[in-house]
Amino acid sequence: MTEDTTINTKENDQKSKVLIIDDDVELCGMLAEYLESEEFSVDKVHDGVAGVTQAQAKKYDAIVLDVMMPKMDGFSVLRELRPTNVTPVIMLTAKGEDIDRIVGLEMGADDYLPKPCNPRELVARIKAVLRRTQLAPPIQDEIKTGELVIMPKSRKAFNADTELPLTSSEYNLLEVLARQVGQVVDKETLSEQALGKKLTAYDRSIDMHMSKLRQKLGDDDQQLIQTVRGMGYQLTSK
Amino acid sequence: MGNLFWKIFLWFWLTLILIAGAVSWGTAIYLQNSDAYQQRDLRSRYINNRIELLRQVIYYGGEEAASDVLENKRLSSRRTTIYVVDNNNKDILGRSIDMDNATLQKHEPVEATDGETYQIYSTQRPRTRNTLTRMLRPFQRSPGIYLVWLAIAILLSGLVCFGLAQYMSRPIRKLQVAAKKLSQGQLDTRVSDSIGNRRDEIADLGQDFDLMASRLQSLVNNQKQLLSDISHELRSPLARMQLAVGLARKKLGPDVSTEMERIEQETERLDELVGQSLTLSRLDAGAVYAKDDFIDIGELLESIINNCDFEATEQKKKVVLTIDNSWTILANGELLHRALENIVRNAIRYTEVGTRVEVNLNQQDKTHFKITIGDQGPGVPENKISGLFEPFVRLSEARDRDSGGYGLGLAIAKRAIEFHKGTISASNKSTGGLLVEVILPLGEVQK
Repeated sequence: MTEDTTINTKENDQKSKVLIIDDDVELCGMLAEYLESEEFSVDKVHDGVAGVTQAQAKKYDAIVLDVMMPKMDGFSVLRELRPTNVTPVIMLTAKGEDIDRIVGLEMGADDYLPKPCNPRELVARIKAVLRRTQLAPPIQDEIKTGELVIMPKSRKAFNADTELPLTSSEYNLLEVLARQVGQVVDKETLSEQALGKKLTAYDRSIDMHMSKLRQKLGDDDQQLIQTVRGMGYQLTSK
Repeated sequence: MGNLFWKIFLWFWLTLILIAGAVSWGTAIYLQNSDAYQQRDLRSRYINNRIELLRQVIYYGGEEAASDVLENKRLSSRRTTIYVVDNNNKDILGRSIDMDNATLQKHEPVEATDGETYQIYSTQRPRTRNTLTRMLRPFQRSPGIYLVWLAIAILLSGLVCFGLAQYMSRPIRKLQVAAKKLSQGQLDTRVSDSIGNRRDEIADLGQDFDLMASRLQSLVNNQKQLLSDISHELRSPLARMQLAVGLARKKLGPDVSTEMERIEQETERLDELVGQSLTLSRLDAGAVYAKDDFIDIGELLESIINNCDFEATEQKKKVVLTIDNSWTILANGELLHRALENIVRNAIRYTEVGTRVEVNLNQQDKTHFKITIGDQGPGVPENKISGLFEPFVRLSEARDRDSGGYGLGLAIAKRAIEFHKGTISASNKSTGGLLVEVILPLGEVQK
């Protein structure tokens, strides 16, 4: 599939480089054209195996990865890439299918978009992901704050040297809070980064998971994780 | 024990009792009659003997001896009267003879030794008992024993009929239960195995039922598969189309932006429809969606109604929400949102201009809450109500041609609610309009 691969590195180094991995050749062509018109530099490959090779051969700013592909599906590609390759990945999921967002998050997907989708929406998502990763500090091997130790690679958290029995969602919340320790993290961010979904007015998931997390941390008086009314949550640095 | 069981049981039993009764009665009467025939034979011989005796008496003893014999009660019979008439044409006992009596019989005259000739007549008195009492006579002989036999006969025939009725009605009952299940959508219902090893029309019926059910199942599955396949196949061209529209928009500039917008809008509608039918197919296929969102039902309804209110206001309609209490439940937020939104949007669509859609949330019982959505529209014909939750149902050709029917909204709503172990039902309000009732379990999370 390498003959389909177009590599345009010389043109413009400021352009964000995006790799599209999708088995629909025509779609890839149009998507590349669209993204190029939005000032992205685009490479495209049409199957999972070529996708893994291409993603490892060159440094990209973002990868658009189709989940439904023959031979090697999107999740397998992602599993191959992580954790050595930290390029943000936007997964194109099949519309009408329910995907386990938490599992995807654990595997390191940065965003999901059901396909077919409006190209403007895709551009907006890519830009959002790029903004997020450019702002965020590089992933540390270990985050320490007070008595808390969080190890993102093994997805484990320790409080005063004892491992915390956290669920995936609880761990994700704690990690997101710990990365910005001492700062207020709003619910929208928590929902998107820890639970993999857009925050809605009626969704109480964050509050629920947070209250369980506090119980497990022995933080009943809410000293460690503070609620900032109308804004979000904050992990105190102590 | 259904109606049929009792019908077969009682009718057969009654018939059996009646036939048995009639046969035994008839036999009894027959026996009695042949008995009576013999008796009559005996009787006439007895009378002849009597008369022969009388003749001897007259011959040897004359009138005096004959009078003694006739007056002797022991020699007379209750039913037969014998007259002896002398030369003066008078009965020797002075009794008058009714010459018109049909039973009057003239016997051979006797010439006594004294030279006088006597005529002998006899009459038979008719039987006093009427036909009915005669017919009932067999039963009168010894009522006790007869009643015991009667009871045994009734009991035995009852047992036989009970068995027969069971044998006939049970497989039919099973068929009926199976047919009901089938009609409720359990297309894998089969009866042959449960009917047992019979070889009769009922067994054939069972096999034909199974044949019908499997045909129905494959038809429905094919139809669902078709919907699912078409939707799947539509996704790729749709994705390309959206990109093409996006590209065209960029290249053509603002001149044709209204048209492009329209194309984009319609593409999005197609996209939405494909998404809906895929969701429906997946729910129908029993796919499992994650139920890991903590949803505040009251807030969910409020947000749906806030979203719909703008649309409703444009059409001069209103949506009013009444909440008694709110609960947080563990659910698939997207599905639940879509289900309730579909119902509310549907209500807004059909309520009359200038009226309002009323949405209520309240507790149903300790473990369930209830959401009702009532509109003030034309309602739905009673016989179409159950079809309301089927995909692409049209209630009446004329009315729905403009509106496009109920589409997929309510079909998805039903499946999504059922996925959450809830129930959904629709009914016409007495004041007009459709009322949709959703009952959902509270689950473990409560607030």
